[in-house]
Amino acid sequence: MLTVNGVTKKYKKFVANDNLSFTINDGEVGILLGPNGAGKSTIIKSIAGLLKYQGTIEIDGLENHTLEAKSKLGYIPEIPALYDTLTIDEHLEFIRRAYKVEDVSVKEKLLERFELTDKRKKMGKELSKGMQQKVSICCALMHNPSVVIFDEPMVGLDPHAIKELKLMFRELKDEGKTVLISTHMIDTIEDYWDVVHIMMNGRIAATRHNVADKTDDKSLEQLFFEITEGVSES
Amino acid sequence: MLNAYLYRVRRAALKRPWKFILALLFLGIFVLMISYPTLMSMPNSDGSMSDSFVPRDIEVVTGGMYLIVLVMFNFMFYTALKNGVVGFSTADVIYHLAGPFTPRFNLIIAASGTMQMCLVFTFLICTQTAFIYSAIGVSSVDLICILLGAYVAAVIGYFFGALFCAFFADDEKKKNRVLTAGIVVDVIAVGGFFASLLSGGNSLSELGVRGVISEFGRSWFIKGFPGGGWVALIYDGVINNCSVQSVAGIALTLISICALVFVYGKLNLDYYDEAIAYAQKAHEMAEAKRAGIDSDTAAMTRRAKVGKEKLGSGTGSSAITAIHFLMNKRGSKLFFVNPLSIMYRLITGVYLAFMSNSSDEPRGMVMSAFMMMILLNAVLYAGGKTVTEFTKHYIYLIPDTASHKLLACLRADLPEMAFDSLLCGGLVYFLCGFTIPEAAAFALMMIVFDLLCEMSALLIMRLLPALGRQLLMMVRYFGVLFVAGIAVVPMIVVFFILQSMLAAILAGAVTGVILLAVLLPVCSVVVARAEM
Repeated sequence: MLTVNGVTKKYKKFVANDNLSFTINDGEVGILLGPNGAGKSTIIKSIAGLLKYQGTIEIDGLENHTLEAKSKLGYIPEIPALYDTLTIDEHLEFIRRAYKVEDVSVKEKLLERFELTDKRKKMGKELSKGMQQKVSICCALMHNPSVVIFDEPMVGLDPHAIKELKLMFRELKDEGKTVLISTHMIDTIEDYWDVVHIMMNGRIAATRHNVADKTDDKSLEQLFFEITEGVSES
Repeated sequence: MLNAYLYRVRRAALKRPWKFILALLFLGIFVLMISYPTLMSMPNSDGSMSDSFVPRDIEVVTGGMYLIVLVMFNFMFYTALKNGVVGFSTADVIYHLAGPFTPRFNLIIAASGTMQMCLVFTFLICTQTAFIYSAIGVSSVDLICILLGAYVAAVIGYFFGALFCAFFADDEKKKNRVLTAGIVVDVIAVGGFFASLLSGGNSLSELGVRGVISEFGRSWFIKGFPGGGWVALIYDGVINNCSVQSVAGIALTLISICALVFVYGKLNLDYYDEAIAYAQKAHEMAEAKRAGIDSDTAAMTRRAKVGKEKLGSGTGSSAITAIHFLMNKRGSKLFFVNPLSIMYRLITGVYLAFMSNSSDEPRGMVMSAFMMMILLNAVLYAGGKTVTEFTKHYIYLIPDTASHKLLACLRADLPEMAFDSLLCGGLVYFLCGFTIPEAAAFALMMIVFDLLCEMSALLIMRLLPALGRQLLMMVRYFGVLFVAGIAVVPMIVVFFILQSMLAAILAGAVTGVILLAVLLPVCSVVVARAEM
């Protein structure tokens, strides 16, 4: 479970996240939806423990800076940052050892799933952006984290990888993991989401739950444009 | 379109006013560096000359000038042969290369980019003024002319190299033939010089380094070197009162430039592939910087290829040590050898050889030797793997303490540092007349200072992440020197009190260890609280 409670992040006078609070339960896929500059990446980085902030963030009830919390978290950054001179295989092996994962077969399964087996000897600097993103995803999932956060995961991926990734979101959900995805592309989240937080100017402007008996007839897209365009016009 | 380009340049300058400050700072350093020989040549109040004064020997100056200009010409020629016509931004690619403009017209942008790049390299030579002065005894005017010559030679060299690269863009074999031809010309020039020198009954040991340099400036194999040699001929004629040489140099340089303009204007060169690739690389680096990820400069300098090397054992933070070892092996086959450090030690060796040749008391060079090694290692380790590792997110996510992760990185650097320090110890043993215990202590001190370089650079980088890339590099460099300077003070004090070189070096090492003991926990805290 991921709990964000009263998180505020400021860059000098600019408030990137303003008193954000939300919870994503086990087995849920949460989406942070918002235009560029809404503060999605900032909260994602804060959850990953890469930024200082005011407020509390808990991963499975543990403060996110603790080592226990770190070992339960998987993070896929917006821009993959691989080591130029390490191969795909070595990246995964490095993460496996760094997180002390005993099961070697996880690496093979991930390589196969993301069609990286035949490219495992390629170095980071030789990979396209999409390939780097795939490696980044594999690295984040290597240690079987209970909370996985994705920052714009679809950018640069080919249709097959997008399909696989969506399938993986569902699998992670079925396995009872907590998944948080930040994106600005409404059409990519389709129907695998459980809760969507629409962000605008560092705040959550609306929250929508994906329930079978919808009473609100507005589509997610309508709601998004109503909020984002309405706020920007006002 | 040209107006639009100039407008963008103006806009960029106005949007980043700190670049003006940086430019002023560079100008200030430039003036200071140029004035160095004049300041050193000023007599003391009692009329005596300063200990650092080096008398000007025209023959050595001439030879030194040819050396600098030819090195610059060759360096830029081979760089251009590899990279081609570069200097385009992503915006240039979109609006100029893809726009309705001929490749010839677009070369104007490449020309301005190339000239800027050459200016940066010339500035780098300028920062070595103290070394150039102590080695060849130049005046400030000599220095200005040498830098000017080096700049012109660099530009000509780059455009020649880029021309061949573009002309043989789709034929790697032919490009390699040009590379071979370039090396053959170099071998003929240098080989011819040494052959004529030795056939004239000269002995290298008798001539010494300065003598060889003097002869270098006299050799027609060097004076006639295409491009670089012709540019150097101009000032050679001026300082040696030979107008024929100057006129010949001016004529040949002008012919080279005209030929370049003519060829670039007439040929329909295919240089877009390289230009786009370079622009893409520059764009990715800028994007990575914006995302808080710095590029790994150490990796970029190495031509890494996957071989038989394997990832060593280690879990948790030790896995970081293992990947660093692997990257080291991939970079140089021997995990304890950093090719860049070998180059730096060669530079230091040449410097010490110069100095020992002209000094009666080579042991007195310890401070300048030490400072030079630290200056170079500040570049080597302040931008090394440990520092760049902490610009990537992985290290912050690994579930281990910041101090463990930091120590894991440092552990991986120790073999490289130890090897480099041994080389440093060897240099002071052979060239400064140190005893074995003194040389061993010097090597030990170098390891301590290398670690200090890394720690202080890491601290500065994490504490001042908001600085621009160039400004951060400068602050990092001077910060490292400041920390090193603190440890140098006890070294000098101990030497004056005890008159013992060994004690002085050990005092420096111990001070360095104390500073390290302070910096390590501070760095751990800073890293633990770092923001990406």
